[in-house]
Amino acid sequence: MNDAERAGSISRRAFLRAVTLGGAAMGLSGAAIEHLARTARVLAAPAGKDTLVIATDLEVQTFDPHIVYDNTVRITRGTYEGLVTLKGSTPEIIPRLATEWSSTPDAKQWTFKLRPHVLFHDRTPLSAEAVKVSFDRLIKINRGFAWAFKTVVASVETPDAATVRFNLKGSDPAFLAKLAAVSGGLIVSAKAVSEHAKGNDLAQAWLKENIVGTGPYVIERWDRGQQVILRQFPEYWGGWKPNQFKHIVFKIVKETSTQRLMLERGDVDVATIVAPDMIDALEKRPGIKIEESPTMRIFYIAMHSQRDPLKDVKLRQALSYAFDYEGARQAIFNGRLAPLNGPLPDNDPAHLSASDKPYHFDLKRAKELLGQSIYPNGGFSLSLYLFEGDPTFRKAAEILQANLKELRIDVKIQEFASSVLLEKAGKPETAPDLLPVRNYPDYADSSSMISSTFGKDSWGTIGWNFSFYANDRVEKLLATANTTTDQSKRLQMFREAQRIIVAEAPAILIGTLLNRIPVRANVQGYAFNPLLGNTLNLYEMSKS
Amino acid sequence: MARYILRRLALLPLLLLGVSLLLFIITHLIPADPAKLIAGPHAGPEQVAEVRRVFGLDRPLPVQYARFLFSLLHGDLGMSIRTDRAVQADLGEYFPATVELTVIAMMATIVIGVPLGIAAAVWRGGLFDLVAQVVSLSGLSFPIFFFGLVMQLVFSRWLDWLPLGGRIASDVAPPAGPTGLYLIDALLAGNLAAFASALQYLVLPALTLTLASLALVVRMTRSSMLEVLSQDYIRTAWAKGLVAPRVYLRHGLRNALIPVVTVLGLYSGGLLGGVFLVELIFAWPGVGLYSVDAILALDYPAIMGTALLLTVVFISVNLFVDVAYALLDPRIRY
Repeated sequence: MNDAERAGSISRRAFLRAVTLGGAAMGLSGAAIEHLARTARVLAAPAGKDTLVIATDLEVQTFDPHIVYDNTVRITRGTYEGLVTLKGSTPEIIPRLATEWSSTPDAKQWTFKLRPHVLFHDRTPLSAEAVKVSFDRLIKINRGFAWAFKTVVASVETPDAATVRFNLKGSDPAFLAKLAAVSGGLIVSAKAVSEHAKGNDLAQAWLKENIVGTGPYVIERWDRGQQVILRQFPEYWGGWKPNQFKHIVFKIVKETSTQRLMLERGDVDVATIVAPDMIDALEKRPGIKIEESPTMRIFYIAMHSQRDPLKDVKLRQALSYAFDYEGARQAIFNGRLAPLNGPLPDNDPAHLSASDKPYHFDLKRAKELLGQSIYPNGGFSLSLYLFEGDPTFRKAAEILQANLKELRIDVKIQEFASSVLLEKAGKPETAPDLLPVRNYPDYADSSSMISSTFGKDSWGTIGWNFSFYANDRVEKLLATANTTTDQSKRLQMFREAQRIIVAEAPAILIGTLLNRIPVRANVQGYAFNPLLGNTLNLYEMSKS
Repeated sequence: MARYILRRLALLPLLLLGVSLLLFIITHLIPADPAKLIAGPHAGPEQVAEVRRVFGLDRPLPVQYARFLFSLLHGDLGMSIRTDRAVQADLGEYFPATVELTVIAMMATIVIGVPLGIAAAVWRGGLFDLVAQVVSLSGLSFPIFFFGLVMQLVFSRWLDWLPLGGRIASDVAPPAGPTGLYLIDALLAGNLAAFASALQYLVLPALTLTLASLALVVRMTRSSMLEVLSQDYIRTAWAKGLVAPRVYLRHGLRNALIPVVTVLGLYSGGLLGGVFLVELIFAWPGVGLYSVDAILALDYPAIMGTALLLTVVFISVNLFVDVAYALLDPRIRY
C-alpha cells in the first residue's frame, strides 16, 4: 500500500465531518447557535433616541468632584453643578446653582443667592451649608483644582440658608471665572459627606464611586474599564422635556480606529479621540457630521528662554519668522485652525489683533535677525522633545526642523512617554530647547492663560510655562490686573503684557485649535465648552 | 512526579523574588515622578510632597522594596497609585476578562490548529497543506493588530455580524458570579441574554488572538506529524493492518504531540503578550489595558502586581506542560 492509498483510507470528507461533529460536540447545537446569534443581534442594535452613547478614552479613577481634574469632568459635569457656569461655547458667565451674585468694590467679598427648589440626588435640598461644606472640603483635600481657591478663600459664611458669602484673602476679580471652571467648585450634598465620612477622609472613599450632586444625571452603573452609565435624575430642578436623553453611556474605547468604526456603524453617537485626518475622512461619510467649535486651546512651540542659545531674544525672534505658519495650518489641520496673535485666543476679550503679531513666514527676515544674534551664521543644534504618539506635535516639529535647516540650525527631535517628558521638561536644567505644547486656560479669565503659560510662578509643570519665560513688567501687569476690579483697565493691562511677550517671543504661536468632534448626524444641541474639549452639554442634547 | 512538582513549586517564590527585584529596579530607573503625575498640573511642591508621603514614595528605595516584599508575604500587593485601590481588587476585576479571552483563544487554537496540522501532514501537498501554509505564513507575517483591524472591518463594519469592541452590550448587566468569567457566570445564573451578548463580544478578539497563534501550532503539528509518520513503528502499524484513524491518531499524533505541547506552553507567554494589543483594539477590559494605563502613570504597585501575576501564570502553565509530557509519553519520568 503506498502513501496515497493509506491516506485515502481516511477521506477528506470524513475528516471534515469529524471536525464538524467535534465542534458541535463542544456544547452548542445549530439551533442554539442560531438562537444566540439572533438574541445577540437584537442586543447589539444601535441605541435608541433616548440614549446617547459616547466613545471615550478616559479611565475613571474617581468621581469625587473635588479631586477630579482630568477628562473625568466630562462625566462629572453631567452630575454635579457649580454656582455659575459658562454660556454655551462662550466665556460668558451665567447663573447655575446661584441665581444672582454681587461683590464688594474691592472684589474681596462675594455673595451668592442660591436657586430655590434644587434637590441633591439624595433628595436633600440645596443649601448654603452644602456650598460651605463643598468648598471647605475642596480646600482641605487640596487636590485637583483646589490650588485656585486654597490661597484665595479666607472663609465661607452662610448668612441664611439661601445665601453664601466668600471672604477672600485679597481682591480677586477672577473669582467668578474660577467658580465657572469645569472642575473644582462643584457642590456636593452635605448630608452625604457627613454620613459617609470615615475618620478624616471627608467621604473620599465613598464619593470615589458614588455621586450626590444636583446635576441632571445620576450614576446608574460603573463597569470598570468598560463603561459608565448615567440616567436621568427625575427631580432635576431644570425639569425634563420628552426628547432629552434618559440614559448616557460613556463607553471606554482607547483605540482611535475602533472609535471611528463604532461611529460609522452607529454603535456610538459621539467619538472623542479621532485624529484630525480621520475626521476629514469621516466628514464625507453618510450619517455622520462634524461639530466644529472654537476653543480657548492654544497651540505653540515653547522656546527655552533661560538657557543658551535661545536665551538670545534675536534668535527666538528669528525662529518665530522661520516657521511656516500657513504650511503648518494646511499640513497638520487641513486649514481648520484659528489664528493666535498673542498668548490669548481670539475668543478672549483681551486678545490681540493680527497687527500686534509681526511674525509670519519670512526666511529673509529670519536670516537678518539670526545675523544680529550670538550665532550669526547658525551652525548649532536645538533639542526638541515630543509627547509620544502625537501626530500633530510631530508634524509641527518636522515643519520647524525643515524650515530651520535654511538657517543652518539643526533640530534634534526626541520622543518620550508623557510621564518622562513632563519630568524632563518640568525643570529648566533638563528641559529641551523647544517643546510643542497645547494649553487650555484653567478658567475663563485672561489672567489664567497668560500667567500659566508665561508667568514666573508657572515654570515647568507647576503651571505650563515650558519657555521658562519671566519678565518683571509682565509680572507687575498681571499682579495689578489681578487686584483691579475695573474690567476695561484689566483688559488694557493684559493686552500690554501680551505685547511684551509677543515682542520677546518665548514661543512660536502657531494657532488656536478648533474642536472638531464627529457625531452621528441625528445628534442635536451640542455646544462646546471652551475650557475643555469634548465636555458635552448632556442636558441640552437630543436625537432627532 | 509529586516530588518533581513540589520541587518546581518550591522554586516559585525564588523566581518571584527575582522578577520583583528586577521589575522594581527597572520601573524606578525611569526618569519620571509618579507623585507629580497624580498631583496634576499646578500642584505646588507641598502638594506633590503630600502625595509622595501618602503613597510612601518619600522613603528610600530599599525601604520601599522591603515594604513591598513584607506586604507581599502577607498576600497584599499594595495600593495602586493611580486607582487608589488595592492592586488585588483591581486585578480581581480585570484578570478574569483576560483569562476568558486567552483560554478561549487557546482552546480554539488547539481545536483548529492541531487537526489542520494533522491534515496537512497526512495529505501533504494537498488542499489542507495549502490552507495550513497560508494560515501559517499569514499568522507569522502579519502583526496582531492588523488581524484585529481586518476582523473589525470584515465582521463588524461590512457584514455587521459582530460588535466592534467591549465585553458585553451596554444594556445588558454583566453577570455577577464567582468566576468573573462572563460566559460561565451567565450560564451559572441561567442568564441566556448575558451569555449571548458576552459570547458575541468575545468572538472577534478571541478569533484575532487565535489567528495570531495558529501559525506556530499548525506548523509544529505538521512537521512533528511528518517526522513521526516516517518512523518504523508507523510502518509496522500499517503492516499489522491497523485502520488509518488508529495509525494517525493513536500511533502518530500521540508521539507528535510532545513538541506541540511544548510550543503551546511557551506560547501561552506570547499569548499573554499579544493580548495587550488585542485588548486595546477591542476595548476588552483586561489586565492588558490595566497594565498599559499603569505603565503610563508609573503606577509601581500595579505594574509589579500585574507582572508577578503573569509570572505565576506563565510558570504554572509550563509546569502543567511538564506534567502533560509524562501523561503523553510514559517513558518520561521525573
